Amino acid sequence: MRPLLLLGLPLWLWGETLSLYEVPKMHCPLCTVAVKKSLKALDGVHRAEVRLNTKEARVWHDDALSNAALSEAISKTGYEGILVSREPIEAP
Amino acid sequence: MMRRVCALLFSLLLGGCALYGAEGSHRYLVTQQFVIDGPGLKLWVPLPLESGYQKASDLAVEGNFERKAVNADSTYGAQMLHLAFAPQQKHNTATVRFTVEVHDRKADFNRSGVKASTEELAPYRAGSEHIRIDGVVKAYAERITTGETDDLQKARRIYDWTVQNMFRDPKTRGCGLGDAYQSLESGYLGGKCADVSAVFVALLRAAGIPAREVFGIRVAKSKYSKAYGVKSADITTAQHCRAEFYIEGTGWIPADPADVTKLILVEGLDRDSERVKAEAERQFGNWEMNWFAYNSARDFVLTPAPVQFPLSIFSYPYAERGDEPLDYYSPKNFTYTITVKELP
Repeated sequence: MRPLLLLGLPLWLWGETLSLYEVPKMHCPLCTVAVKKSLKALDGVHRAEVRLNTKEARVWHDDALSNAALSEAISKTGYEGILVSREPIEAP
Repeated sequence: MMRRVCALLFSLLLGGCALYGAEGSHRYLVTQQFVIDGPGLKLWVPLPLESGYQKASDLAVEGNFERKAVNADSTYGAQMLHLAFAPQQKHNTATVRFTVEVHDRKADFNRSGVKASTEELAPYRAGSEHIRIDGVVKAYAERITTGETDDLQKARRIYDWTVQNMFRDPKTRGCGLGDAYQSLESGYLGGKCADVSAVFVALLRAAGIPAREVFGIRVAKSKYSKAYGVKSADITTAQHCRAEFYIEGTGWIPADPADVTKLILVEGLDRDSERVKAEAERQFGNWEMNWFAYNSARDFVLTPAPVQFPLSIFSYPYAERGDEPLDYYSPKNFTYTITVKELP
């Protein structure tokens, strides 16, 4: 129980943000794997969901994590990530 | 929808039967084995095309899956086996076996009277995400076929241009992306069979000639070159893409410009050598059936639809764990093997 509380502490202190990126040049299912892996490798990313049919990446991350860092993670895979929206997530 | 797929398969069967006689026949037993760890696995396996030059039978599927189904996509009629494993199951296994009988193909260029339906040809006239037929592709097609009015001669010019200008890049992953527009726009004309075939097909379609890639897998040695065949019974990475184009009256004509580029690389030949010229001539209108076909589908959705779609090319098994596709270009990580045995 205690480790779970400790893991949740940073979220409570700094909050979570959902950023939505358009990744228009993704062209095959394996592109989504590369983009997701690169995003998840960043400290402060909690979850990433990437879809080929919409060519979008949704990233749940610490408030403090910048657009520049997330965009850089996407561009490392060879694709440009265009920020569509960045919204704080209300605590339940 | 189902009626449309049946009509398409039926017309393919009749078209193939009417056009090509058997020069050599072969039967192969193909076995695909999957051992994949992780919960939430779904697997799609390409199955052989049914045509006048190829017939599949004796499909047998074993394993610890929960559900199985054989489906066909509604646009191209691509045949596939779908296996779904129990959501919490951590160790997943499947063995897929089938027999495929094939006949060597040789086009009869003097044949007349063959007529495919508008519906059958429609997908092979149109562009798709990776087979765009506008812009730079259209410009190349016009330049290559300038002054020519006969469709067969136009096709021959496009074939010769492809063989003369494209080359095999052994560093390309799998069969290549098969993105014709990107190849022509970037000016980098290197790649593997899907890249060479995609450019050939896109140029033909842009010139108004129905054309399609035919994705399949090599299953035996070739009598023409070591470049065209397999070395052993393990054919896990032997996927190969060929092409066909349609001439009114003559029907579908087989070609394999990609294997001419492979011949040049593997045998270390000069592009203008007599051997390359002779092989380029032979590969226009002939398929040696030490290979069999899966489908001609591009940029389509598997059935049932996976989380990630569309799929660009379906000549490799496709699998997802949750929303993540497994790397079909890496059979060791995926994990799968494909083996073959020639039957008497």
